[in-house]
Amino acid sequence: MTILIAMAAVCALVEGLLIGMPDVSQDLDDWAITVEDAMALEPVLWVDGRSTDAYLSGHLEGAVHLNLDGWETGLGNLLQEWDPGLAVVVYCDGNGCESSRSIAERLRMELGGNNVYWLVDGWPALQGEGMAP
Amino acid sequence: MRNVIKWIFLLALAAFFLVAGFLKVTDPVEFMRAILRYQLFAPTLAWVAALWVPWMEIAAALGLLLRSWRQASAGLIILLLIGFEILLGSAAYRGLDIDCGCLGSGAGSSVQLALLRNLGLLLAAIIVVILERPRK
Repeated sequence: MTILIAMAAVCALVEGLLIGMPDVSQDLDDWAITVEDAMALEPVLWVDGRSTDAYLSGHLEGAVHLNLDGWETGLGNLLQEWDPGLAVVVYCDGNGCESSRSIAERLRMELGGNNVYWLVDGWPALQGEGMAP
Repeated sequence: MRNVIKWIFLLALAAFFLVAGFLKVTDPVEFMRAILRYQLFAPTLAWVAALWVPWMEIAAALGLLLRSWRQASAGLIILLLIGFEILLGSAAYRGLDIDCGCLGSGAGSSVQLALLRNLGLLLAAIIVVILERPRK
């Protein structure tokens, strides 16, 4: 086992020397958007990235449910509402709010566009603005 | 029958870790981001892990296919999976709503789903270790 770990370390070292350590401190938030900025993007297609239970108990009017565990079904629903001119904003439950970032990243790849954002502070931010129940 | 069962689990494990390792090795920066989202590691440590872990997965996956390396590779996979489960459990406990990062970018799954999947993989690796031991 030690040999396996050592071999992996050598490969990792070579790869690390070739690439160099990136600075990811800035690009983590490139696609973050606040509620205020999202409203300025109208028309917006909202995507609810929370659990099915949370979605069913209340969501933004017109929001499409899409999360990582039910991707294909959710994407099918989204494609029925989406057109390339629409800005897409994904929100999650606000606790860390990382799944919205992942969903937005994946949507940018699958929709082939750059108009997909994730909402800073998610659902609680929408509630704070009086947009969500 | 014993051999058939062993090879089913063995090939499933090798295929999973080969794919998982390859997807992350080809995009270590994205994997570093995924590690940072667990909010447990400094960037330098996350970078070291982003480079090292995928190569360990690939080495262990290939090692599973070689008889003389099989036990060691299965042992390494068990260690990796225990480590992953601790990280995922910690994220679930803290209520972090993150992509697990298990398969690099673009193939995400939730922490809860990854916890369950890794339990299955852990069971498969333990079965391989047991079945690989020589019979008395």
